[in-house]
Amino acid sequence: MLPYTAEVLFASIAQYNRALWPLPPVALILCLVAILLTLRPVRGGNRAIGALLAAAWLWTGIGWHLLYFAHLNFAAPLYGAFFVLQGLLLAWTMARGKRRFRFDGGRFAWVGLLLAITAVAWPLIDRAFGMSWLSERVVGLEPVPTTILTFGLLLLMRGRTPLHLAIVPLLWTLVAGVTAWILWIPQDLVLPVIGLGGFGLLAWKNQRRAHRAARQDDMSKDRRAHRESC
Amino acid sequence: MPSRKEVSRRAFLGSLAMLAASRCRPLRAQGDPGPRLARRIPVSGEEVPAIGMGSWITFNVGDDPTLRAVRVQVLRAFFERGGTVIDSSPMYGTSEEVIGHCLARIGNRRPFAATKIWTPFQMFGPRQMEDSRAYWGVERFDLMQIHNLLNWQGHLETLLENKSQGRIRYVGITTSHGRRLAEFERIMAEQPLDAVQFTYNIVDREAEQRLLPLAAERGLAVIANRPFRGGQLFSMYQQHPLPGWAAEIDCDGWAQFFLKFVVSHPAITCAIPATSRVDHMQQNMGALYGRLPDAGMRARMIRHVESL
Repeated sequence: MLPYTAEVLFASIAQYNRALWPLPPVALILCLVAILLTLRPVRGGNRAIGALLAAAWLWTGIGWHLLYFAHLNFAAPLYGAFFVLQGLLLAWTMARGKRRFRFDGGRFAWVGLLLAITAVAWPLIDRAFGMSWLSERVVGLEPVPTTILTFGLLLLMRGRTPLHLAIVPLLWTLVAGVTAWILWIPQDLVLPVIGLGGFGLLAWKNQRRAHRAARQDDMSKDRRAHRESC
Repeated sequence: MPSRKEVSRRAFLGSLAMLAASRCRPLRAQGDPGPRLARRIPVSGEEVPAIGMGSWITFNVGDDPTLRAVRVQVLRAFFERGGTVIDSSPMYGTSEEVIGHCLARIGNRRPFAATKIWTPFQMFGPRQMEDSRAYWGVERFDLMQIHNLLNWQGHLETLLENKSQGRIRYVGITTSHGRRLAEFERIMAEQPLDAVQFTYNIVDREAEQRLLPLAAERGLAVIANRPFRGGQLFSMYQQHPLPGWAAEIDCDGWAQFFLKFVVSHPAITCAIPATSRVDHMQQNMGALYGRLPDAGMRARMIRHVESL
């Protein structure tokens, strides 16, 4: 039960991008810098990435859903509220603990890097599916690429990734997948796969880390016991 | 004393016979399509064209000037072919704003303006109606309906008060997709309404059992929403050729076939198909002219679509 068509959605995105100009290229560059920071860490880089991600969710929730899309879609205020909640959760989690975003060459990091690059390249994907350049969705300003970037960066996070940070993105990929199916936006049909797959990988990554930590703990206990017996 | 069912059946057959007799003449030349099919609103006797226009999705186009310009053309085609009843709702995004934009561009056309009140809070109802009036640019609404029975007790109080003050002309309630039908029926039977709106089309005919007979008995105008089942009827049947005998009721395409089925029910006042295309609007409005199916033809239409 969607009160708009794909044509209207992309016409609105075009107007939104035009109204925000030159913010779309700036957002693209900032998100690209965030990805580079995971490859070449610098001092303060982790905080900058976390702040950028939180700002992207807050902006998308307030700027797109609440202030812009709510005129066309009665459900947009609800979506906006969830996006703001996600932005606040990211900000709170980043402020509380030391989180590091770093590409370590592991399989999860590779998937994360691929997703993050896909998010930044989303305008090209939209273009490949026939959208005009003004209707292309830009990471940090629109929900779909922002969600993909989030899964990418969460997979690039070193150590345990707080799974509560992936709940709203997962829900959004499901909503966006249904929307894509109803309005027939073929490039968005991959979103539930990204959401469910990304969430599953994060859970797996956390589990592996827990196992590794437990194994190291056992090994150190064994070493200590061996030393004591000697 | 005859039962409600007996009265309804007699009224139904009698009305069908009258309609068939009055409409059994060949469709005239293109320039003069003949008399427009109109129905009376039972409570007042006012005539309205039997085909109106819905605006769900189709007029929710925001500020985009290109999309708005197309809707101006769609609405112009609607008026040029004899339409007047336009239905909308605050739930439909920018539809009301866009309708107002189109009405202002077209000028000199007085629609039969029907919209809805859609808020869970009674206190916000009057403000919402004021906003709707401002969007449409009309002095007052002809029909104000309570959308999907949302807080209907509170809003009905507001609407009846507005009607007594002459701020609206008719009061109604709506539902769609066959939701909350038992409650809907109870309100129809007990409350002082002028009009009701619910789903009725050649596939979804549950309304024939209770709602349509009750509307006839209570003297309520009936607006049929989703006459194309949200466009599904075309994907279900459009690949099949229109049967040759559809020419007997002057149908020139599936849209007219579906619409003539809906408006040939004697309890229906108006059907409100929605479209964003001028050619589809022209097709839809063609159902406003020519012969209508009688009871036998209606049964044949049902049998035909069920056989496809």
